Amino acid sequence: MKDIIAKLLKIDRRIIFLLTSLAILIPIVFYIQMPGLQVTESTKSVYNALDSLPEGSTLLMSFDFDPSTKPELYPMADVMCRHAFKKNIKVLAMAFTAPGVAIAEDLITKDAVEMHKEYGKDYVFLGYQPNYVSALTEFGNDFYSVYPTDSRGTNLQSLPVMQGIRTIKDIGLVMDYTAASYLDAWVAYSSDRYGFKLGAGTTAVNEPSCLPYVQSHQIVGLLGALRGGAEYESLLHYNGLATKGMASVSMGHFLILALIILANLMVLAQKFMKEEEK
Amino acid sequence: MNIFKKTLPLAICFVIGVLSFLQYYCPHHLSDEFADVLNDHMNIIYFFAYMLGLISLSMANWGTIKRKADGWGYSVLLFVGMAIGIISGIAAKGEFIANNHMTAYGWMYTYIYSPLQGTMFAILAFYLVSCSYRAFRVKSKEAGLLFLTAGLFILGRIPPGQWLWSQIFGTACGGISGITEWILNCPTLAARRAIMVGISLGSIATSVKIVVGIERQYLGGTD
Repeated sequence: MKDIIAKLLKIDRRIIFLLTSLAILIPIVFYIQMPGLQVTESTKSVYNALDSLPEGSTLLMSFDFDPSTKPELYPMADVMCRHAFKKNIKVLAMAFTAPGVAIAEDLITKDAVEMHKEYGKDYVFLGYQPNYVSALTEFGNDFYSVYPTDSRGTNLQSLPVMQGIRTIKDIGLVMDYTAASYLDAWVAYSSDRYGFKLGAGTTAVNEPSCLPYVQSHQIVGLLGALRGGAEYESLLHYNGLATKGMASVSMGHFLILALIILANLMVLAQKFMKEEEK
Repeated sequence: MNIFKKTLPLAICFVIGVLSFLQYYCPHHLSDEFADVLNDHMNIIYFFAYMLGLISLSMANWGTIKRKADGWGYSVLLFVGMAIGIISGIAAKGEFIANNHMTAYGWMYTYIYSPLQGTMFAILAFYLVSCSYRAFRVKSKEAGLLFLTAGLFILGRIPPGQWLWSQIFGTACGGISGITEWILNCPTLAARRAIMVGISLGSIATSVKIVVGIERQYLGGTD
């Protein structure tokens, strides 16, 4: 028994890697759905903020992340874009990170095609802005001084989708999807100063950093990682990427918990056996 | 010469610093116009910062190749990658899709850059699981508390954990989801706020020191 425990505690890490792969892959391959998802107040607030916008208002989505955090943030952006299109809300997409440009363009184009939306009329892709501090301070004065043209070089003011928009205050809801500290800048340089509705979506690791803004009502709500996306999807009754991914996340989390408990029990048993020997 | 090396930069820093501070709180069109000018200048400075970074990176790697130092092949790869990236980016005018076809630039992003970044991040999950098994030992009260919180969090953040908890303990205190929300919104947030306030006070103090010329390290030299 003692030898078995010692061997198990020194188990080859490749076996743990294999277990991790299986825990993540099996739910994806067999499309296992997990029961019991409870929706948090924060997600409900973001949902209500978008849902309460009247037809013809605008949602601005800022894709401030890169492919490394795409699995956590893309699904929530995807479901919100679909929600906006479903409600005939105009969508503007932009990025403060260079790799976020391709993600934004891919997402908005795919959703627009699926939901029969027209470029320039129902949505527009604004492109990349390297200097986010400058852009955020300028948004409140003149939106077009930051983005005079869209990503295709078309004069932005000539597009029907921009009708009625002069500054960021004319936008119904702004959503910042970020895995870094862009939300701090959005709050400090723009939303607090110009007073528009700001929401955010972030990674699980970054969630505690963003929560103070929810409690102080500086943002309308926060979507936390893949779970936040799955909660939003359940509110919209849409079975999307987040819902599908939650099974893998759940199995992965259970594996970590089981392995920690198992390892600690074995250490405890080892200690007990040593004491008995004495 | 001291005027150009010290006095003038300090004066510019003081004037711009004070005006930028006032501009933030002044809702006047002159203030907005000043912000426009400031933002244009910031963009120009950003360009020089990027160029400086590019030149510095190139010089460091060129030196590695010339000396045939360890790993010089990676430096060659860096130049090859940089050249391909810049040429394809200029040729595609920064577009990922042109005439309904993916450009070389877009192809590289979609099939090289994006999977590589995803893979790098995904590898962390494997090491995390392995480390949890090997290193997370409940040997003290603090470790026990950490384990308890982590366990509650894991259960509270995933649907089967929430379901399992509600089956065993019911939905008192909002269920496991309510408990994790409380942990996040009370103790975690209190600690986070303290850190944020500390960082902010430190930033304000450093900014004031730079604006009034007490902190001068950005000028170079030792004083």
